[in-house]
Amino acid sequence: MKTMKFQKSKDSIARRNLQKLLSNKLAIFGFAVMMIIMILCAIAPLLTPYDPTYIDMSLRYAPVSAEHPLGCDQSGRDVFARILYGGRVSIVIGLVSALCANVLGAIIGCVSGFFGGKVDQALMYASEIFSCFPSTMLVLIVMALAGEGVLIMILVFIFTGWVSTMRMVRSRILSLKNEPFVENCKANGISSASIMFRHLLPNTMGVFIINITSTVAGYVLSEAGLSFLGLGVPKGIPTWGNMLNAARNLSTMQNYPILWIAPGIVLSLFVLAVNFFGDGLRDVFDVKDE
Amino acid sequence: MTQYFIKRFLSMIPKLLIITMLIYFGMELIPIDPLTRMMDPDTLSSMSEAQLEELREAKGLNDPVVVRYFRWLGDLLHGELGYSLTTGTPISKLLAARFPATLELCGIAIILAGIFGILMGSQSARHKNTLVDYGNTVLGLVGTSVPEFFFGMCFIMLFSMRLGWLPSGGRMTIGKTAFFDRIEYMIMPSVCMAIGLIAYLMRVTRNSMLDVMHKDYVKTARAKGEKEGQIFVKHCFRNGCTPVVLVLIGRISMLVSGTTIIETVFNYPGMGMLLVNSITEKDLPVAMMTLLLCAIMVLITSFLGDVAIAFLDPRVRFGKEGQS
Repeated sequence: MKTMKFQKSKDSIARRNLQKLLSNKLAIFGFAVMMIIMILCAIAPLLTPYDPTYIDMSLRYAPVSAEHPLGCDQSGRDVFARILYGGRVSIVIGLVSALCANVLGAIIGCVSGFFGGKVDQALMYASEIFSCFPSTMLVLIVMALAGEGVLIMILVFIFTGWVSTMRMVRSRILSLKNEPFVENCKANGISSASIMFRHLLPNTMGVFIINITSTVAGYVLSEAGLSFLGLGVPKGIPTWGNMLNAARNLSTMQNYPILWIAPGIVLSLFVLAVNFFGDGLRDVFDVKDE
Repeated sequence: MTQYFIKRFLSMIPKLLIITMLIYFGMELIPIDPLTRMMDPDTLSSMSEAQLEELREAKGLNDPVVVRYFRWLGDLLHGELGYSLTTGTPISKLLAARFPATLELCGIAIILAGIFGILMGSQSARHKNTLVDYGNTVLGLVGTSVPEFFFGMCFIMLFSMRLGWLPSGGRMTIGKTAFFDRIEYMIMPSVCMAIGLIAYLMRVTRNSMLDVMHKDYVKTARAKGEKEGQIFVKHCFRNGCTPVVLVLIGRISMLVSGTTIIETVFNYPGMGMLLVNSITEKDLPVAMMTLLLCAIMVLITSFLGDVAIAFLDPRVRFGKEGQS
């Protein structure tokens, strides 16, 4: 029975990887939690009748009740609705920035690794300079110069976030570019661009996917951190970070703990789930492990 | 060995130049009259328009940008960092007051992270695939996932408000300025900063130790009848530490980054809070100079890290693996 399973799983790398992933309970748990939170946020209008930005002073600090499952905040806005709608913004910022920053990093890394020499040196030097600047501080200053807003925040994240993917993709390309299939491509007169992006880049998918999951987690945390400082997403837009920021003063912290504990837990749970899933993916793609 | 250090040291200079160039470029982008950040506001307010123009010429603000950059760099080397836009205090004074505070905090966090991260990581490696290992892995993931400011808020809630053991913020009690009197103010922020780093180091240590534990020389030592504990400390630990130190140094920039948030949570008057406050008040010259100082700090620690690696790993000093 066992040998049959083994033979069957040998059929394709994809199937073997999927099986490996499915056997990792922590990863599946992470994936499930991540999907549940994302779906709940996506269908927010079906779950709560309240507008997350509607201010009703008569409901200021309303306690937990059947109508307001997590109570209301200092402006009488429904906390449950704010968590769901806030999650939308936080998660979209995380996903979009992670995707774009990784694509940018992968392209730069690919060019750097493939061409080598002066190009590689210059790009590596640039990445070293970039990594000297503490990221949150750099993001804060660039945002102070460029202005506020969700879009600007995403752009700043992309602009400052390509370095780690670039390095990983570059080292992968360096080890791949002397393989026979690349020489074969060159001998057949395939253009450099085509070799890079059609033949080499797909081989770095493992690194790419792992990096995306870890950067999604990182950007969701960064957004929360910046908004928590009051310097991220404009205060009018509900996000998990903005909710935590609103509950930051000591008296709110002590008297109305649900206002910061609830979004804090959802945020942590989401990031934790993404990291569990990412960890599972890492085990699957990591060739060293085999 | 000396040659290696000199080479490493000299390689910092062009990097420093580029970093200052970027900061200068950022300064130029700030939409203010450069005079306001270069001069004491008291002197400026008493001047007429013609005098201001004269001053501008005298300060060389009408020169080409390259000349201006080098002049600014010269000023920087003389410790003239300009003036804050909101308070008019010299920026060098502001930074001098905040820098030691952040340095202390980061230092304690690094020590905590180093001790706990490496200990827990090597325990995980030693007892691979046991309950200890799984427990540590999950703890590690929790440590990297929960935002540090959320830990901070929970700590304040628990240790300051409920239990009343530790102060919720600040850096010292008035009149008590000795290091040991300040420790109670540093416990919570440094622990918050260390948690993420501990989790990360733990993972790296575990993997690195596992790598080393299957090397031939460990088998040889075991075959020669050396005690398990001694093998672990003498053969595995020392060799497994090199990548850990590398990673620790690579993360220092993240640690400094984290000070922005943690210092704000705990109202700790360090560089991170200075940066956040100056950005909130649109006092960008101060923010830029803080960033510059932090970047230089990261650059210098990475140099020190290279030195540490060279001590730990002779292959690096003798240039056999100088590439990696």
